[in-house]
Amino acid sequence: MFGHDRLAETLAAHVANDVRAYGESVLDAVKSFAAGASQSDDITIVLLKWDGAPSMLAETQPSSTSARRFPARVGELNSLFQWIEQWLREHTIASPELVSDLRLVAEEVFLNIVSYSGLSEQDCVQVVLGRDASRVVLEFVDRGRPWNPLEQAPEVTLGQSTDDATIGGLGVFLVHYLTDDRLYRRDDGANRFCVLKNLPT
Amino acid sequence: MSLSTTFAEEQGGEVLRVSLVGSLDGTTAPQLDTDLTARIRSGIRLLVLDMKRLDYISSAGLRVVFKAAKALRAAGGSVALANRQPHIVKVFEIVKALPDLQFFTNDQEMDE
Repeated sequence: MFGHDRLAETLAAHVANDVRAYGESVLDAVKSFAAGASQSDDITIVLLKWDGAPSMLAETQPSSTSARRFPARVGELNSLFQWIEQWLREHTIASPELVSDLRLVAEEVFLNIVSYSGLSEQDCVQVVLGRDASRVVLEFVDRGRPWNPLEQAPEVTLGQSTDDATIGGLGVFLVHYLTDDRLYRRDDGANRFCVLKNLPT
Repeated sequence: MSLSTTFAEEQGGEVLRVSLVGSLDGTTAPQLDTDLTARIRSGIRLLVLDMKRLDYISSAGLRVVFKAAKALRAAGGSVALANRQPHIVKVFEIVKALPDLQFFTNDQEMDE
């Protein structure tokens, strides 16, 4: 019998991106193992390819989440604020300070994406809000060019003069100060930027 | 969320007082920048930004304030921030630590 162990070995030896080639290598291995013996039953192979990447929210394990897509343009800021504030109210954690801090963090991150991702106004940024007992998580996912706000604070954000350049990284600085942890990952063609803020105890 | 502004010249045009009401964010900052740039001219010795009814400021708003302060300083004038509410003070306090942002030499300039 071909058996599970042989199947596992075959799969490990033929790791391929192409799902069809992966399946054929398994069939070849079975054929060569059978060495001409007649087939006594049918052979069925189901192959699944998962293109997704795990949300960083899965790592932070919030108990309750909500997601919404916003077109990548400055004019969406008010909708974003309102959605965040509404969500905080629904979760009865809408203290004036938390509302104000998260509004500022959301504006800085969202406008950075709008300014530097190279997205068009028709593209969207997905924003995810989540919480557990002790903290709030805010995640931004966009399919723009790779850009890690934690490492690459923009040198110029307003106009082109050197005067403005000296204060370019202001937004990133505010985000650092107002959040308790920040994570960035580029995967599956998307920028994923996640900030965590501890709830007042 | 919007911003409404009122401009008033005082002391024979030496002082320009601007009252800011609402939210100074990424959507409202560009217009204020345009308005201030047009009004900052030689002869103005003091620009007073009255923030008594300013509810919110983001980095886009801070940039406009800092840009105006630089422009006035270069012309021999200065900027005063008046009546800042606690949540506005908080944002200024955060960025005060940045070495490039020492536009205001002391706290007297921050609040009238």
